[in-house]
Parts: sequence; C-alpha cells; structure tokens
Amino acid sequence: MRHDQWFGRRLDRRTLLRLAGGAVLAVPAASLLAGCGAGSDGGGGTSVTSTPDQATQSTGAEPRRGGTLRVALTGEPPNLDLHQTTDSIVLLVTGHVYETLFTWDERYEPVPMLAESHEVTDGGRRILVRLRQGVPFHNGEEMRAEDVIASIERWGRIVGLGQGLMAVTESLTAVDPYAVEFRLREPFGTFPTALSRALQGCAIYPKSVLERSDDTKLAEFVGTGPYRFVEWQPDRHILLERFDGYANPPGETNGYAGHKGQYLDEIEFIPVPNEASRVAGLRSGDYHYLETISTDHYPTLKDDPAVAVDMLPPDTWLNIVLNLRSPITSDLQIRRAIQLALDHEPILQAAFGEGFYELTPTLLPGAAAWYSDAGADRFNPRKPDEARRLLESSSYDGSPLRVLTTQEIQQEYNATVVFKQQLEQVGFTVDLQVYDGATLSDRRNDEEAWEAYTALASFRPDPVLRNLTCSATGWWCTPEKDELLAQLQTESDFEKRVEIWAQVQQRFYEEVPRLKIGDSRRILVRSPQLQGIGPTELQPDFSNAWLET
Amino acid sequence: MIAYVLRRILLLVPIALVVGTVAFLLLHVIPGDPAAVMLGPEATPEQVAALRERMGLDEPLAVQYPRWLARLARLDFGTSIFLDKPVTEAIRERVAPTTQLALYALLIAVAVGIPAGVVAALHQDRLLDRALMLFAISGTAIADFFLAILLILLFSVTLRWLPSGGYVEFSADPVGHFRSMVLPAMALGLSIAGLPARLVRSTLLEVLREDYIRTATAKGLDLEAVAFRHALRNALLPTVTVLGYVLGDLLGGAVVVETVFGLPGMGQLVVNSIARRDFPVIQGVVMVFAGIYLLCNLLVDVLYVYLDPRVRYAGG
Repeated sequence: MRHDQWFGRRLDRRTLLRLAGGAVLAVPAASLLAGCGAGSDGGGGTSVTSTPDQATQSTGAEPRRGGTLRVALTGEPPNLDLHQTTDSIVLLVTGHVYETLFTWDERYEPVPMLAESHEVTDGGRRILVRLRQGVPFHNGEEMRAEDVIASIERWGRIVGLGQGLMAVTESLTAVDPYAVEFRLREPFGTFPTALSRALQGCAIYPKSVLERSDDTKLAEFVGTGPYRFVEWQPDRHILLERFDGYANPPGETNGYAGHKGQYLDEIEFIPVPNEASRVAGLRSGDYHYLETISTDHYPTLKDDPAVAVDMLPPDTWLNIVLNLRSPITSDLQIRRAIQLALDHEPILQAAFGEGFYELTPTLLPGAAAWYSDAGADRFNPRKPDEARRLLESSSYDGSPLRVLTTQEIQQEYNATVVFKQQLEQVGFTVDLQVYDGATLSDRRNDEEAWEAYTALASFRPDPVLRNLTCSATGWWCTPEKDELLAQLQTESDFEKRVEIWAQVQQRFYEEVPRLKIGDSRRILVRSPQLQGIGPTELQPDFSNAWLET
Repeated sequence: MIAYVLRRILLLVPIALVVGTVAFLLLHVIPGDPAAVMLGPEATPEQVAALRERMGLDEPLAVQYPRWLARLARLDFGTSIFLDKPVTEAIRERVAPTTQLALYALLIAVAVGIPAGVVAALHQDRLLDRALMLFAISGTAIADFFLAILLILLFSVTLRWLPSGGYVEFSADPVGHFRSMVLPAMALGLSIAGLPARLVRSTLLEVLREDYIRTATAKGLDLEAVAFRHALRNALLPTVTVLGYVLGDLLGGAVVVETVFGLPGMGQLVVNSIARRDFPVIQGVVMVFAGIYLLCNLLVDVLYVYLDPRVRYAGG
C-alpha cells in the first residue's frame, strides 16, 4: 500500500510542479537540459540528469574492482563520531564505516540493516529487535545485543531524537545475544525511522570501544561497515580500506540497503577548503569526487570532458529563521508582514542561479511521500502593499531587524542581501550582520542577539528527523504544534502521519516561525571514471561505486 | 657584542608574553565556540550548552588565564580540542611543510629577484629595465591566492604537469615532494621576488656611482666584471637584511598558499583552528610565529654587525 501511495503522491507532486508554479521553471530548465545534452553528444564527459537514479546508476559497464577513490572534502570533519554532530561531512565519511540498525531503501522507507527484523506487540509498548548473526566489527568482535544496547544508550544521552526515545523507554534489555527488547511507556511509532541512517544517527559501536569512550569522545573508530578506518592525518587525509570480513546484508542493492559491492580498494577523503582548488583538482584528475560545489561552476564544468556533472533533484531548502523570543519578531503581525513582503524568486535567483531552484511549499523536499500543499496560499504571496499596511498598524517602532549571515556560505549570504532589500521596501529597518561561520553559530544560539537568519535545511526522509521542536533555534513553541509533533513520533500508521504532518505544515505557514523560500537543486561533480554512486540525499554511498580505467 | 645579544634575548620574554596575552584575550573576546562548531549547523542551543559543559569550556577567563600562563612557562601550550593531541606535537608535525615552503619560496625569490635587479640596473631606463620592473611589481601586486590559482590552471589543469595540491614528504618520495612543492613555492616566491629585485636595482645603481667603481672602470675593467666582482657584493648587504624581515611576509603568505594547495603546514593549521575555535592551537601557533619573527629580527641585527664592521651597537 505504501508503495502505491508513494507513486501516487510522487505523480501528484510532479503534476503540480508541471502544471502550476513549475511551468515558470520548466522552460529554462528544459533548455538547460537540452543544451547540456548537446554538449554531452559532442563527446564531452558531461551527463546532466534530472533524477537521482539516472545520475548515480552505472552506465551499463561491468563494475571494476580495485583502485583508490579520492574525494575532495570542503574541510576537516570536527570528529568521526556519528552520534556527536549534525555536520554532514561526518556522515559522508563515516557512512562507509558505521552501520545502523535500520537504513533507507530507494523510496526512503526504513528497512533492516544490522537488524534482521523487528516486531511490535502489546499495543506498541513492546518492540523486539532481532539482530543479524555473524556480523563482525572491524576489530574482530562479533556484533551482539550488548553492543547495540550500549550504542543506543549513548546515542540516547547525546542526540535529541534519542533522548525522545529513551524518555518513553521503561527498559532496554538483551533477550538473547541476538535480540534486544524495548519496553515502552507509550508507543513510539517511528522506531525504525529514528534508528536509521541520519546525521547524528544511531551508529552501532562495539561495547568494548564505548567502555573506553565518553559522551564527547570516541576512543576508536570501529564499526561494521564495508570500509574500515585506517588513519586520519588532519589536513592531509582520512583513509578507509575495504573490510574483507564484511557481512553483506541480504538482498540486492536498494537505496542505502542491501548488497554492497565493495569494488574500491580504498577511499581517501582529502580536505581541500578552497573551492577553486577543488574544481581545478578534479579537472586535472587529482580527485574523483567533490563534496559540495557551487552551481556557479556549472557553465564552465558542463563542457569539460574531464568532468561529469549530474544535476540532482531538489532536496534542500532555503529558509529564513525568525526569532520568536525577540521583542520584535515575537509579534505575529510583524512576522506576517515579513511573509507578505517577500517575492521568493529574486531571493532564489540570487542564492542558486537560474534553473537551480524550485518553488514548492513542502517542508520535506526530496521526500515525495510527505508532499503537502497545506498552507500553500501563504507561500510566496508577493503582497508588499498589504505587508506595508499590516506593518503600519502593528507594534513595530522602526527598531532595526538584526539579520545574521555569513559569507562562508555564499548562497545564504546572497539570499540574505535580497531579503534585506525586500524588507526595507515595505518599511522595515534592517541591520545586516555578517560574521564568520563559528561566530554565526554562536550568535544564533543567543536569543537576544538577532531577529532573523538565513539557513539551508538539508534533506530529511521523515518529519521526525526535521527539528521543529520548541528547543530548535527560533524557539517556535506552541502547545498545539508540539502536540502534533508528539503524535508524529508515536503514531505508526503512515496515512495518519501524513495527515498530522500536513497540519504541522499548515501551522508553519500560519504562525510564521520561519519562512520557506524555495528548494535548491545541487550539482554532483565527479570524474567520468567514477561510476555507481548510490543515493545522494543522505550523503553519497560509495559502497557500490567503482573506478573505470 | 655578547652582552648585546644576551640583552636582546632577555627582551624577547616580555614581548612574547605581551603577544601571547593579547592573543589569549582577543580569542576569548570574539564570539564563537568549539562546541557549536563540533555539533554542526543544526544543533540546538541546549545541545551546545551541554557539550560546552562536558568539555569544560564554560570556565571563566579568570580561571583559564593563570592556568594558560603557568603552562606557557613550561612551554606547554595545552591540548588541541579537535586534534586530541598536545599542541606542541600538532605544531611539530606541521613545521616541515611550512619551513620547506618558506625556504623554497625564498630561493625562488632570490633566484628570480637578484638577477632581475642586476640586469635592470645594468640596463637602467631601457626597455629591459622597465619590463623586468613591471614583472617584479606585478608579482608583488597580484594577491598570492590569485597567482596560485593561475598557476594551478596553467600547470595542473591545462598542461597537467604538476599536481594541483597535496603534500608528499621528502623522505617518502623526493621527486614527488618537489613536484608537490613547485607551484606553492612559485606562488609564494614570485609574490615577494619584486622586493629583492627593486632593492638590488636601486642599491646597485647607487654603488655603481661610487668612486672606487669609477676607478675600476678607468683601469679598463668592463662594466659586467665591475658590477659582479665589486659592486654587487656591496649592494647585497641591505638585501640580506631585508630578506630576513621578508620572513614575516613569507609566514603570512604561507597561511594563504597552504590553504589553496592543501599543504598540511602551520598556515593551514592556524586557519582551520580559527574556523573551529581551537583556542589552544591558535595560541600555540601565534606564539611560535611570534617567536620565529622575533628570532629572525635578532638574527638579522646580529648578522648586520658581522657583515658590516662599521656598524656598532651602544654597549656592544
């Protein structure tokens, strides 16, 4: 049933995009694709695709075993502990080293990974997870229930979602060496979702390693994944090598799940902070894959035979977070005036460039099953006159709106500059404050320091993984919304969850805690030699990738 | 002389202390903390606060400063928050790439700058002089990161002769080492070659007007012989002095060039440490950079006395 729903919704979304707002975008996008197709026919290495499947599947050639994949990173990961950080670079590296109990298939449904199965009984209050047997860690130990319990307990102390699960957990025990039982005070319908691959996901580490670790530091980087950690020389590289003892999951490759080919001998992650150097390194053949690259490089790279460029479907969105604890933006009328003042297209053009964005109201772009039109009438209203009138009748006294941004993420900065201009046109005074990344992170945690900031929100396959709780920066705290979020966590029926999520989205547009501006398309830039990259939304998986000669 | 050197060495201590204290205070005044960087962009304020507490970052400055001073007295810069190793060890690992880069860049600056200056002086006000000086000034005027990108585009992307980045240790592969260092050293060396070129040109022109040069020429020696055998030796004295001071520019330039070429040197260490607010490392590198700069100044002053016997210091 869920598959049917998914396809049905996916069709709805596509139809909507094509027939409604998408029509505006379709013309330039189509001409772009047509133009690039011609470039590719001309003998170049460029392949421009519009779906992840086309972008990342093999060209039909037989996978080749061997070689070292060289991946240029935007910088150094803060650590290699998946529990610890929301930084996506950590998932990119460690996604090959650690595994979770569940992961995502190609439709972004949670499926077993280290778990063999799970059964829910007693009205959702008892969950029994059976583990796969004979799964070795990289240190030679076998993964057992005690490792799983130790990992979940640590993750439950550090990560918000884990804290949520542990708060309703009465007991967590090993029934036998390969089975773990959760006794819950109340149902936790999103159990497999919460324990799937994610930023700050619940990686399963050996208990013996956790005994030597604490909640801030992991003593060793040991997992059960297809590649094992070899060394980390800061500012030089992080080296992984094929784990010959890997216990391959049953079934064919399906999204992040199923069989792993392990064709590459080694994966080397090299920090190259300068973007121009990263691009030059790929063009000169020094790297095979670039972690993130601005779409500004698209025109120069698309005709370069040494580079393959895949255009990915939108999976990230640009949002402007408002501070609901500020004396100014705590006033709903002022927030509505901001909402009415904006014309989203110029902001998106400044941020991503023509052809690299879409205008949809969904808060989970890329996760088609969760698409909703709820609140769409308030999305991109473009009513500056109404905004001006509303502002004049509000409590706004002309105090400057402190808008934070950083030039380290150029897309955010460009968007913020246009946002500022649009606000000033309806009568706001705006104080644009530009900081370095670390200062910005610090400032936005201080509720007295700002009224708005721009942020890119990354892909989430399920709404419980999107943090819209009261504790998230911006402090959107209303009992009705919090109740809906709690229901999303406990409810297990998919249809009902989609309905609940639509209500959250409706409130999002009515209460204006943030402003969703639009979705961004990313480009995936690689060497034409590199084939078979898995899904990319939750960072690319190179477990089935290979290098052609 | 010995008393002078000893006095200068003793004076280094209060200067280093002032530099260190200013760096310490600046770092703790600017916003941003390692916990927020570590947790990533989507962490909640509560998570950041909890990690700060677990890492012991929430201690007041009055507690941290005396502890830092006490450690400094033992030349212990503490432990890096991110690298999880003593700062001295982290710096020791990064000394080689930076020293090599500075040395190769200096060699390129000298190899290009001094001959250019001599040739320009011998062809004063002619087309060759103007062309060489334009070249020298362009090198100084172009930002080193821009020059670095241009070199990468030419030698790595178009010609594919040299790697675009990365570092190979000399002991592991001498040829690979030099291949990996050519472009960074050129980017940095050419950006400072203008200084010796202009200096050699002007001092050589000055020396060439001296009486003893006229005497040498009158005795029948040709201009090239006079310039190389007699004039250049004297004209080089101020150049040697200035090259000592250029080391500061080299260290500053290394910060940028290492980032562009991905060299794991002290420059990149300090840039990354600033971005992630790794306070102990930043303080350690600032102290080391300051120490190098102070020692070089001292060395140049001492060398000056040695090279030019006319120079004498009060009390020396």
